[in-house]
Amino acid sequence: MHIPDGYISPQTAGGLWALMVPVWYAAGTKVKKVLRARQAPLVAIGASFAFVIMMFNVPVPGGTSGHAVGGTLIAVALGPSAAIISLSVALVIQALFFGDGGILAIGANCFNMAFALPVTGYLLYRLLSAGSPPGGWRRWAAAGAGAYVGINVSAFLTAVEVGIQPSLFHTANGTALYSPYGLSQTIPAMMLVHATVIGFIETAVTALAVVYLQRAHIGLLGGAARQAAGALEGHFRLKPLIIGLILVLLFVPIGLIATATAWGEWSPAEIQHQLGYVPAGMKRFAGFWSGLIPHYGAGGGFWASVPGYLVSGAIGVAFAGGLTLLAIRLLQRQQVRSVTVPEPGDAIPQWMTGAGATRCSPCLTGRRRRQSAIERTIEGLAAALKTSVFSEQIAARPGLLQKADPRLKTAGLLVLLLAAALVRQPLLLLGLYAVTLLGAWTSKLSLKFFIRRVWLFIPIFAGIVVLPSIFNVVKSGDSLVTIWNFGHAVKAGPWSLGNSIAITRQGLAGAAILILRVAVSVSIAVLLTLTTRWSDLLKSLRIFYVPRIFVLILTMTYRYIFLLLRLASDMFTARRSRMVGPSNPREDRRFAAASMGTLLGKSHSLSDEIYAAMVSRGYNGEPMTLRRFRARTADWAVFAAAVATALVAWGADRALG
Amino acid sequence: MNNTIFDIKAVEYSYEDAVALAGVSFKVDPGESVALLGANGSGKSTLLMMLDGLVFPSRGSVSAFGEPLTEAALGDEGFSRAFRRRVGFVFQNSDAQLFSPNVGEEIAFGPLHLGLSPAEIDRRVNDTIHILGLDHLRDRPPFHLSGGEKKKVALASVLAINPDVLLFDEPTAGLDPKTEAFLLQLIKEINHAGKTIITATQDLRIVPSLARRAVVLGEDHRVAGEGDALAVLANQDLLMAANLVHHHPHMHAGIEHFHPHSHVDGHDHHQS
Ligand SMILES: Nc1ncnc2c1ncn2[C@@H]1O[C@H](COP(=O)(O)OP(=O)(O)OP(=O)(O)O)[C@@H](O)[C@H]1O
Ligand SMILES: [Mg+2]
Repeated sequence: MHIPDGYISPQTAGGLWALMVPVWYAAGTKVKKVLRARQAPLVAIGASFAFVIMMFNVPVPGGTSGHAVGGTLIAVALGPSAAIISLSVALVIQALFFGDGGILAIGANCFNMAFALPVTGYLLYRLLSAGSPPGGWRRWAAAGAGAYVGINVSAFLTAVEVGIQPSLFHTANGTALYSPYGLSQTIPAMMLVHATVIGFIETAVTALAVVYLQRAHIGLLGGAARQAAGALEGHFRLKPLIIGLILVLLFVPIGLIATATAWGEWSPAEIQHQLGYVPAGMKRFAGFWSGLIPHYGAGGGFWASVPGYLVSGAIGVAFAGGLTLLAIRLLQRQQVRSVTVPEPGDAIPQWMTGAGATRCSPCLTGRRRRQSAIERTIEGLAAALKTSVFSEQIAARPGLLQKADPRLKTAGLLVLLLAAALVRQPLLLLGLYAVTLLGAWTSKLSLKFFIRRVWLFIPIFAGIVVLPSIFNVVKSGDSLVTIWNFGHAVKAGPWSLGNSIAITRQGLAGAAILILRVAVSVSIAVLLTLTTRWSDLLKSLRIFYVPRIFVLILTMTYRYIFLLLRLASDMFTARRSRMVGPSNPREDRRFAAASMGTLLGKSHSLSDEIYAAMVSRGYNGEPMTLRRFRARTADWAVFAAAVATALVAWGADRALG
Repeated sequence: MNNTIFDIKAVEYSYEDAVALAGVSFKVDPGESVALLGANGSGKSTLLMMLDGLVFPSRGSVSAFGEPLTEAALGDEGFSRAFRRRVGFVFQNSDAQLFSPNVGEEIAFGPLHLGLSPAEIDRRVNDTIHILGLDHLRDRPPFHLSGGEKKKVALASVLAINPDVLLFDEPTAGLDPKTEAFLLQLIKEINHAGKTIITATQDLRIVPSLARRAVVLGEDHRVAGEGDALAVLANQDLLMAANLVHHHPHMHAGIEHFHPHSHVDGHDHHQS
């Protein structure tokens, strides 16, 4: 669900940044006020937990696996304000250090996953669990339902943000400047996966983790430890909650209607035919929207998919509820076996000293095991640990960018990133790409490595994603190369395929622009993260007026991510070492949920201890940092070069039209 | 003017689900070196946290430097700064203690937050890094260090504050023999220089070089006994009652037999 840079316009990205700033401010103030100085480690732990949770692979029927976001779970455990900050910090770290999601797109990704998701999930949780005891079944059921709705709302928003791009940002001849797919394509695509698969993962994981918390860390769900963790919750009253929830629930259909009119292809009469009635707001705005947004493209699948979406949503909620209910019943029926710890002096049981049962202990059977979700998770965790070590090594090399003052370097590269987002000419984007190669070369990075690192993932992925859009079947345009001529109009279901299948000029240019833009953005981000020690990078955020407390939380989060990664990795490895034969997906799912609960519990007690350690050494709520940066002329020269490049690119772009 | 460093009177403390201290009293005078002995879970760490003003007794009282050590007192800017400068605490869990992006900053954290001048911070960081032999780790992030290296960094981060009173929780756990010997020597030296040292440990071997006095916490979370360190170590009944020693099978000339064994030092086999 992470939107990379290049998929959405800087206007959209900027707008969502602007939306998030007051949200962060409000959440930060609330966290600070309610939890006072204690907030930093707690929120940092929440963030690292969020980060790690996104790496847990959960098996999905059909043999593949997906991952959860855990946003609702964090909101349930830490309260919504702390969850907003925790999840935002996790997303910032993913974007800055692991290239997951773009840097300019941080605002958008945070809006979807760190704001809309936990807040909807949490509101629903509060509403459905109101008045039930912390240990009651309604808690986990409500959390599960909240998680399902939360992640779907978030997916829907993502689809809308990406889907409005082609109609808002295109050249005169219809070439898409950012993502080429319209709402009629993004919404069904996103909702299909999230309503059917990912939503269930999130639901199951959240509900199971809450059950675990009820058993092992009930304090996190209410009662005694409220002051430490969930104090934020107490400040919510039911009435505004219900109103908020109703607003959120209304949001989804309103969004659908607004986008449909935006699409401009459906007359109110046709909608009446589809829905049985015409929403009043739509009648009024129909003309407005279709005037504002020129319609082009094939489209058409959208309204057909709306009832489908609504139905699958409803079935999804029912199904998810039933499924978790069943799973938890099964879980609860298992008795908690009491473990007797041998007292020192007790005789060591016979079985421990006797020989094991197997005659040939490690022996080959010639059968290969299928890689389980657990193994994939271990691999992911290990890879994340390795990436960080590796990046630090490169950051220590004596290259040009490594030596530059981190604040000026960050500022300069951000200006370049902005230029890459604004430029509309493929040639200029190519030029900017050359500049990043130059930067890599002067920074003693192997060009082969740099190019591979950048291209291996995101731009190639963007290419695959964007490929269908070059055909006139998917997006109309002036045909460039005709592949198949039917000679007559062909219809396939609701779609009209037209007279021929062809590659369009607009489609090709749009694809080229998107791929190049993504490549340049990723190159700049990789350049920044590979040549800067993360501690310096985080500290340089101070010059962008990022409040100190956020920088502190970011710093600590990054540090604790590795602690948790190691912890999680140990848990999964220990589990694998005890696994015999092929792994059982059901067991794996249960294990993933239980380990998430364990991790959350451990994180929580750890954060208490960290806080104590900080207080012991004089921390009193106001973090201080050593200022060791000193910008020299050379640093300003690097900065000036970056700004000049950006200006030239932008100016040339305007001059060329 | 009261001369006592800590005066603890009948303190009690419980976590949500476990009793940690059930009426503990003792005093610590300036310049003393005290070993806090007790089996796992007897409450040593909790007691040290209490001495460092991180948890507060539900019953009983703690005073430090003649002033009551309460949450309210530590809420006072001046008092808390003075107290934090005078008392340093090395945690049992190094992972909890290391939260900064690199070793250098970790060590600078205390001096920085306690309001020292930049030049003084630099000097202290350099010196502690040097005496603990951490030069090559200075720019490394703490999470990539080995267990013993983490412990050293945690020690350095507290030593840089240069407190009058040092609380150590299992300081030698996980250290190699050379580093352990060095640490014991260091503790001895700073104690000679007039600093008060309180060390929680279960490693009876190191007690004689760590402390003059020993306080034993029993499994009932009360003081089971206290006195001169060597006398406490010789008191097998006390150590046995506190579950600090165990019977240990020994082979002598083909005959196996048990006798109490405390790992304090060598014992005379002819008498056993
Ligand atoms: N954060 C906590 N939450 C709940 N119970 C705790 C917590 N910390 C300690 N306890 C409990 O309080 C009791 C005393 O713990 P404490 O850590 O003080 O013992 P200790 O003497 O330091 O043990 P060890 O030698 O293993 O370090 C134990 O029963 C422990 O289970
Ligand atoms: Mg302890």
